[in-house]
Amino acid sequence: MIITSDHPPVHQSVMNILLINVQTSQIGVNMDHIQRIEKFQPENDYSERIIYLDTALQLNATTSYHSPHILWIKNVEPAIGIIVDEPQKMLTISIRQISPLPPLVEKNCIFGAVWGAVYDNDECLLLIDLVRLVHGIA
Amino acid sequence: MQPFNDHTKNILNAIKVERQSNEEKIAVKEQLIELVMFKIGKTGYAFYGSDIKEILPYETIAFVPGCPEVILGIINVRGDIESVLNIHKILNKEQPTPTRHSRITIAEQNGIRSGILVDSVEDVVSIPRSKIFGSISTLDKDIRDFVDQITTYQGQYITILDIGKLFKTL
Repeated sequence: MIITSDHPPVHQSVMNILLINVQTSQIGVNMDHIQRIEKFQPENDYSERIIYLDTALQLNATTSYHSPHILWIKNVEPAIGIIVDEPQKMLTISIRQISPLPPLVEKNCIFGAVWGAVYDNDECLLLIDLVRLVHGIA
Repeated sequence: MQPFNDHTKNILNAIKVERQSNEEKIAVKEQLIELVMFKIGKTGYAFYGSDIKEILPYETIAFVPGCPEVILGIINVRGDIESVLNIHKILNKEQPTPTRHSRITIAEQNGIRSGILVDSVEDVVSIPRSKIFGSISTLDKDIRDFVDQITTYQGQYITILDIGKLFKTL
């Protein structure tokens, strides 16, 4: 597998993120990591590997997908798609708004893909690096 | 050796008396230990006050996927993100639904800092050191590893938990 993208460069002052809900969590993914988004058609025979986001995040409770979409990840070979519920909206956030995770969370979280949090009006948005996530499950 | 004259003797005596008095004052201060009393279920526990930086009302804790069950998630404390530990899980106690009495105590020891969700904070008191005793061997095995000492408060046994030992589970 080839991994070529990572967190935004430090000189970049803003980041475009796609907002996704999974169970009780609000998740933000860097738009720069996404090649394209398409509606998931269960009847299609996808030749590429696709995986549901809740499975990738090893969430125990059952997740309902009302309008599943596939996020195809950029610069990953062989291609992997992540199925998410209908992406909520796109946000542009300042890098200064991002807080690193507390040391105990960073140390104990099994995913290196969860890398920061943004609080907006008391709502927490967890930032997940999809490239790292698919690298972890490949 | 030439003896000190009376004037020098008086000065030395005065210094000696003042030092003795200061030492007594320090000794009296050292005998008081600040404790943050809290409850898990109906049982009383305490943390050393020196380890607790803040006591916050309950607020929504954001779940972080991939964390062990002993970490409930994260909260925002005036722009700083803090983790919140599940003390019920660590002590193998039943997990209640948070109520208006629930509190998040922000604890710090040896550079490690985290919130700990407790059912209620009852009091912050200073207890004479003489009223704090060593741990007893008959303690519940689920909590024994985390207990530092015990004391009594308002007629109830209070188990003093060591924050450092709680953090070591992670």
